[in-house]
Amino acid sequence: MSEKKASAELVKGLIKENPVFVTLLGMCPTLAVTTMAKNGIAMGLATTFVLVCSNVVISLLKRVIPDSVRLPSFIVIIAGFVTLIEFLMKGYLPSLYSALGIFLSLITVNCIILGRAEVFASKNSVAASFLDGLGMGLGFTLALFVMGSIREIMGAGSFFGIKLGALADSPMLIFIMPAGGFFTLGIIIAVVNKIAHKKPPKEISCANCPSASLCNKPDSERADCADITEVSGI
Amino acid sequence: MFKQFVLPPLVLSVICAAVSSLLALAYDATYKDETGVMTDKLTAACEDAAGQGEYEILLDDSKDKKTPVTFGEDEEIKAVIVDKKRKVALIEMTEDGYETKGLDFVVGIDENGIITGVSFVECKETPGLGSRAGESEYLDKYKKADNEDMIEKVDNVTAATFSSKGLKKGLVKALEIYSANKEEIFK
Repeated sequence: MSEKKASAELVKGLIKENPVFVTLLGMCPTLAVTTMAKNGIAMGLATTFVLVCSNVVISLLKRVIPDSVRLPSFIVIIAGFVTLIEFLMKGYLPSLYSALGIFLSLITVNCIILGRAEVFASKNSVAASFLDGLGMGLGFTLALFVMGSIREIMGAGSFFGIKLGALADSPMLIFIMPAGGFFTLGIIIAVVNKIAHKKPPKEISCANCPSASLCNKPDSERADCADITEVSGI
Repeated sequence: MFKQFVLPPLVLSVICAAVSSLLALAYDATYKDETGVMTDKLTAACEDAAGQGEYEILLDDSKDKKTPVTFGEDEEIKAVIVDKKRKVALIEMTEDGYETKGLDFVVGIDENGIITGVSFVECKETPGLGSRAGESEYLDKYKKADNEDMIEKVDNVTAATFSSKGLKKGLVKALEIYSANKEEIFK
């Protein structure tokens, strides 16, 4: 794999195909655990670990796993790595383990992980799958960190637990409530779209679909999103 | 025939067996039995609630495996900790706040049954809302209380009503447990 292609695989998940802000995947942990920046980073890194490991193993086993048991095999491998990270966090970072709660186990059903396994890792080399998992995981971590930082600063008047003067005296509590999660996410997506100069689609089509690269439509029906599939290496 | 009906379940079974074996090894390598162990967090909370001391958790060794003494209140009491030299008992309680079992705190009680202090081991309540019931300025208001009336007289924290109520319930329960089992605690 050329250096240019390798860096493209790594960087695409940060902004261009960011799993949270662009493809809108993994919304459950994004909204639930981002009441604090620390929780966002912890969940992001745990997901990155699972993404990288599962991508590598699935890419290694892609020729061994029969098509008919492809999905159950992927889920078993992903669940194995999630359980492993749970054991590690429970043993060495118990306070983070209890802060993340049930959402740590739910990484198993995070559609980013199964999505990358099915769309990318099962069709590409180990090195490319590793970089894809790392890039997507870091993009997810970045998204959760940004969400968590905004919600913690505005809603609790602190950052990484350190109180921030006047903000701490009268924080806007709505930001750490569930509604504040949706509000913050909406604002960030709007900003990301503005930066990327994206305009709302005039009509619904494959070309305008952020999840086009994950779509399983037959080729004949998706000619108009060929440019997107090319980028994703399908 | 082999590829269609035998190979797929065989491969899946091998993957399941390999993953299970690796997890069993990982479990053995990471599991820590902290039963009866004064963790750093618990020690810090005890010192916060009752000052420096030689703290130990009371353990029930009548069963095969030692378990913390809870006087039959497993739901609310996690452990009873004592400093026998100073005759101070600390009861670690878990109560429901806004989150189920979101409050984990120790109540320091001296030999006269008076609360010496309250400190949180862990607070899973919403940061900025329920978590305010765990702040030291608020917890200090319960110092020197020795009955339910004194505890109930303390105002709840605004926007942390569930957490305040859970805390009060735990404090009342801790005083009850202490007075009913004082002799056994210090024997």
